[in-house]
Amino acid sequence: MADGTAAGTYLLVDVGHVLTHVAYVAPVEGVARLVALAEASTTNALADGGLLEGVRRAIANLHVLIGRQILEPSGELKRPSDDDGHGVDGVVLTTSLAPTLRVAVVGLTRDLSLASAVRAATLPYVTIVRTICLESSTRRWETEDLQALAGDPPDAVVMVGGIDGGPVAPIRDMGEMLSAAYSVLPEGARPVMIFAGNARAHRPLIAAFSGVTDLRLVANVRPTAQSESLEELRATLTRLFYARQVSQAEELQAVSRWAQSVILSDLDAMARSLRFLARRYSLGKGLLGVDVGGNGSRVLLVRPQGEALTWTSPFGCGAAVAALRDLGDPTAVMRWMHHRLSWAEVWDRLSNVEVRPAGVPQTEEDWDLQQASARESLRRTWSGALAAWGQGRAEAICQEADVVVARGSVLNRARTPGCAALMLIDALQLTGLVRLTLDWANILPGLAGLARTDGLSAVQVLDYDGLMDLGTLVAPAGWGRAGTPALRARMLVQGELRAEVSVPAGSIRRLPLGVNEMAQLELYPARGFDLGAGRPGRPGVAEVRGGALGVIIDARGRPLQLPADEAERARALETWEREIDGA
Amino acid sequence: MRAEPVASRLYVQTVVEQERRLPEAGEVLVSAGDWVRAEDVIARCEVPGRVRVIDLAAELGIAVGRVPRSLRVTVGQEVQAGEVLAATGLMGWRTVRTPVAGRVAEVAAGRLFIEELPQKVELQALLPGQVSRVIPGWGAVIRATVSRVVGVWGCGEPLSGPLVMRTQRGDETLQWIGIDLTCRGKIVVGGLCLDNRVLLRAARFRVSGLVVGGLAEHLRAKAKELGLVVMVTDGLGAVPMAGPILELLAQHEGRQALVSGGRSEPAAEPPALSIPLGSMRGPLHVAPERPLAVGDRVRLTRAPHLGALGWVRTIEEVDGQTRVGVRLESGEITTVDYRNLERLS
Repeated sequence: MADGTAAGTYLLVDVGHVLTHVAYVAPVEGVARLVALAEASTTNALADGGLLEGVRRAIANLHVLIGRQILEPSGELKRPSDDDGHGVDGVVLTTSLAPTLRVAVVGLTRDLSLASAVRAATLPYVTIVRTICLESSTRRWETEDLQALAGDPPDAVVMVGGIDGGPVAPIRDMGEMLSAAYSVLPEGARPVMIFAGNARAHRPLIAAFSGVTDLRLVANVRPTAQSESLEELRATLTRLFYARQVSQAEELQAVSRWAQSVILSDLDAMARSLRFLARRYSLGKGLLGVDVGGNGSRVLLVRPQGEALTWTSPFGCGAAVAALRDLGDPTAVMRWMHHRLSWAEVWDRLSNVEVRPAGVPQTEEDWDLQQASARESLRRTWSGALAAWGQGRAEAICQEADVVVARGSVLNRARTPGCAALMLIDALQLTGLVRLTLDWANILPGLAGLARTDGLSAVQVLDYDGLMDLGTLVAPAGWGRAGTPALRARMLVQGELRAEVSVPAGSIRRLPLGVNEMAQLELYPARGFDLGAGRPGRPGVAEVRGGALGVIIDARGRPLQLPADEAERARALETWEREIDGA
Repeated sequence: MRAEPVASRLYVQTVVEQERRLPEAGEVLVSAGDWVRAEDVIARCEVPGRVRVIDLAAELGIAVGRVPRSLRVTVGQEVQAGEVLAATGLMGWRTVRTPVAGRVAEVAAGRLFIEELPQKVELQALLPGQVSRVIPGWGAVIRATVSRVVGVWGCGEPLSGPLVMRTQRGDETLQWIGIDLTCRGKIVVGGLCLDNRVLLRAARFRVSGLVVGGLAEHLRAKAKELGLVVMVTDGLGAVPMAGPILELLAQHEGRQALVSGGRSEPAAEPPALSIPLGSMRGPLHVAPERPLAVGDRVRLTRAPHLGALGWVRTIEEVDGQTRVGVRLESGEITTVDYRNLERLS
């Protein structure tokens, strides 16, 4: 491999809630390539043979495609690979099945130590279930907080407070109260305590928690009022997640033993892959990862500096449509549909998707319904993320990404690339110039795992096969009366004019630009529209990259306004779908 | 051709391994190889009570430091609901009483922690069969020969009882009047459940379980709220019970069965109804799950044919997708993705 020639064959296995995906990576003319993909329903029921059975079925499907045997007749993996290409040299396991680590954060000062601890604990695989601030002069606990911590104990409690060398008494009191609360619980139910505060408080805390529960002492997240140190707390939470949530999940461990490989959380692995992508393509701003899953949706924002911001929501397209149903508002989904169904019919169909998430739409109405639920799931996930990350900067955050990487079967299996792009655009309401891509093979998390053992192969697969470019979206903010000119665009490829278009407000147009083609785009927005060039109406020039859809100009305005009248709305949705598909 | 087997929802005769697990670690009373009856207790444990936090200082309106002096109980003492925990004033003019019975677990910083009394739980086998494996401290896996129906949705912990039919056809709606005292302790089978009153009557007359083909979507929450054991065999909404399932259940009317609403953790189990087939103690060959084949009886699981039954005519691969030609009972021929099928054989 030292000469840049890939040699190993690998199996990337991703165990999801609904489907188990396997990808076969092998050298083709000296370059590591994604050779084949297969999937099978995830078998998580004991009666079905556990998760391993689903993995074996997916690999059996792969056998049919590649004509090589990866499994021995006994069901064990054939490794290493032989001269005929049978078997594999390594396996990468990723999963979204490991439950997130539930963490409560307790601190003394909301704007200092507590804020730092929350930043440190904002990790893809951590859910912060409660944030408690004992800031008042009496430093009294609210009974409701204590009841919640004792009645439904989290997996870990992060305690923070004080700069190094500061007073110890408030921290000691905090520790003694938590120790008293948890000494009451059975041993197995007591959470792990992590202290990331004033180092002088270590001794009294050791005394308080001795014989009660496991206490981990890490570096102060706020050693001084001006400095912040988050790494050790993050590393401790990561270790705890893999030790408690992954290693103790019996079914996952059975797969891990069989594959002789550690299991990675797919969200953690996805964040690593996105960070690598941001660096590899020297992205000026950031990269937004979105995953519309069967059991919930996740978004990650990876920026050039700092940790990735992550957000998970219960809204999704399989069993997670239950969360949409629980909203009690059928119109939330129906407003995205151009086929007319009664709300009772919508509810019944969504409920049946929930109980049989592996099915695929069979009729036009079903496709429409699936896309509508994906839009609403992603929209709500994104709103939640903006509220959590933004703190009043939602608009700025929207403009922090210049590439969107989307994954999830509902997007990868959309009827057309245009449908996938429209779901993303409508749900995220992106503005400015953004490149849209799909993790079409569901391998981005797997590549992060592969990079640990064979970096060259991971990079080669990522470069050649990793992402499917949908195209570059041009979406000015603002609003104009439907039909009036919103934006004029000229596209030059290698100095020659390829296309020129005037886009009316309320419409979508596409300019032809193939995959990996670059173009110079001149944009002249009308007065009410802003491309982020300083003020509304200011023209701009940008280098853009093509894709399956070329350049997509969305002049529907932001925020996107759906017509209030039902028939008009249905007509508009149908028109937009037709426009983006270029029909 | 895809190698993935298509799940079957109906087994006329099969061997199941039913896991029976305590809610908390405890004592297992059986060993691998033991034969058990449905009513045998195979494990037992104590489920610790909830912890209640009572802010004595706030409720008495005194400083935290004065709380120890006002206490009328000691740590470790058992208390009854309504008993005085703390009081102030010579005459005890301001008192705090415990809302629940339990044990005083801790007093710290003006707060009193009460642990509600633990509950004793005895785990019955519910399914007559042989213990194939013991889960140390937690329970056992029981192996039994059964007829089995796997549901699409369910709720409630496993319960057993004799089967009783309340509708003659799969598309017939269960009437609330049909649930009466004679259903107590029984597993009631019906085509459709679309009426809230059916669930209310089932709860009132303490039926062991309710097995229906289709359940109105909004009744799921009600079923859970009432603590009923419900299994839906075919779909949510007005989806009739498939003929072969109804026929099988009718054949076994009066026999003892075990119905479970399924669970997601620690290991997922779908909702299922198992009807033990007597004491078959010899080895039994069970055909493994297999890919779909021409001639298989199937049920369609997506609109526009949700719940319809038919037979597989053709299976072909088109653009990497397995498309299955199905002749419906109505005579219509349709083509569907293999993921939208379930075997009924």
